[in-house]
Amino acid sequence: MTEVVDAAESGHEHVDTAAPADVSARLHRLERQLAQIQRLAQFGSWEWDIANDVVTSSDELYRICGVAPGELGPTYEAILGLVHPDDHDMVDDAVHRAIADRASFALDHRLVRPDGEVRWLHSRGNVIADGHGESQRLYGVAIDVTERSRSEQFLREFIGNASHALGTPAAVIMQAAHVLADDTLGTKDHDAAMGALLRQSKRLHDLSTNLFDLVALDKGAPSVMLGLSMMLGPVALADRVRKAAAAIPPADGATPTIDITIDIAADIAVLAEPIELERVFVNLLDNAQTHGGPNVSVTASRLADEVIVDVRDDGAGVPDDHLQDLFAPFAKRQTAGQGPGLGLAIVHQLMVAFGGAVSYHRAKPHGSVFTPRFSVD
Amino acid sequence: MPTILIVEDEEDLRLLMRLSLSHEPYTFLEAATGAEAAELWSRADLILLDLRLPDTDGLDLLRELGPSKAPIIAVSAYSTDQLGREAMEAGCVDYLTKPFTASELVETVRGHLSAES
Repeated sequence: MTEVVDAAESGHEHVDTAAPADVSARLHRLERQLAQIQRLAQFGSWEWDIANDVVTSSDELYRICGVAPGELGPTYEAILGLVHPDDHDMVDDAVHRAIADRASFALDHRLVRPDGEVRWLHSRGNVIADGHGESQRLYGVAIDVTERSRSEQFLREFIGNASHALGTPAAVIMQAAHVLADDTLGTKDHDAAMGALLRQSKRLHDLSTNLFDLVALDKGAPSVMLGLSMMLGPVALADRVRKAAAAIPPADGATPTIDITIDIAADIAVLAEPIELERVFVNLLDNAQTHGGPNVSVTASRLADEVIVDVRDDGAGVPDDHLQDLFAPFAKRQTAGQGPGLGLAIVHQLMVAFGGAVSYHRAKPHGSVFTPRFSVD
Repeated sequence: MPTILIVEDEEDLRLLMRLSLSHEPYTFLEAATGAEAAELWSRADLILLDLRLPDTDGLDLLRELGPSKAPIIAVSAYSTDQLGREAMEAGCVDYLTKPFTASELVETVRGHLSAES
């Protein structure tokens, strides 16, 4: 049998000489491919026979909607019922305007799965008119853009937080400049204002460096990071922790000085990069000084294929409502005058880059334990 | 000697405000959080209130503590007419945007203290 595919539909002339069984097999294969593509691209397709009010949806669309195929009535109202109540009218208007104008529509909206989960969809549709120019069918696709929306939201929040974090020391620096411009200021007051200027300049500098590094780390390229090549190899742990303890910024009047005890066997080595390994502990010890203290201990235990380190302090511990985003950039750790930080976010990213991880738990009876876990080879 | 309460979470900003006012005959109280401010609130003759505090919003604190006999000057790094209006509605007598010059601060504080007496 010879089948001629309409040239207007296929875009080019094509003659198929396959046997009916082959055609059926090929059709089946194409259907399967389409379903696989939809699954991969996370888009579903649908078609609405307007006069008979029958909606045909692809399996992927059902999956995006969180319902089993056939579980939902095949009518327009049934599908529309899944749209988020706040977006319902917007979607309904767009669809009816497209039908009236015999045009297409495209919009982002939310839908609510039967289990209550909210997903973001990008929906596009187009009208097919009959021979008299009347709208007959509406077909379209819906793409699940929830992850993209989330990362866009994360980015917006990150930029907002970064602006605030950079803006605060910048404002103090300007304030210090105004005070220093006063030529009647006594020597003692002048030095005090200069001290504030230097502290806040350093804070601004450290913050912008950390921001840069965090963005570099977030690209997830462990070999080329931080503007330097990060070669991972075995590093003697105790040496680096001792260097870090010596390098933490001196406690100023606002933060109590901490007493650090290091108990790590000299022959323990972990897979890391020496300078960045030191940075992990500088950040953890600085964090202990600022939020925990006064007694801090660093201990390590060696297991078969990993080294587990405990950085423990006997301070107040992290409040429950700060636990969720503890390792996120600019997580809320509300200590007066400290501002939101990047230290723990960088610790997390570095530990991931080393092929390890970091976790937190509360010490008994009180205090914090940060636990970096390292690979050993 | 009038007592000025500086409510500001940045330690260096508190220092710089004190230095800006160092030629004036004032004594200072300092609070880094809303909770600390609440304790000192009634002892001040004038209050410099940062609108963004670690534990509360400055305007919320103002509404919570109710009217003060001391004039309150709102201080914020984010200046908008809207925020200024809200501060005045909440009971502030004036509004300063960070950073301000030493003389701006001196004149504002002086003006409101002499209006009181």
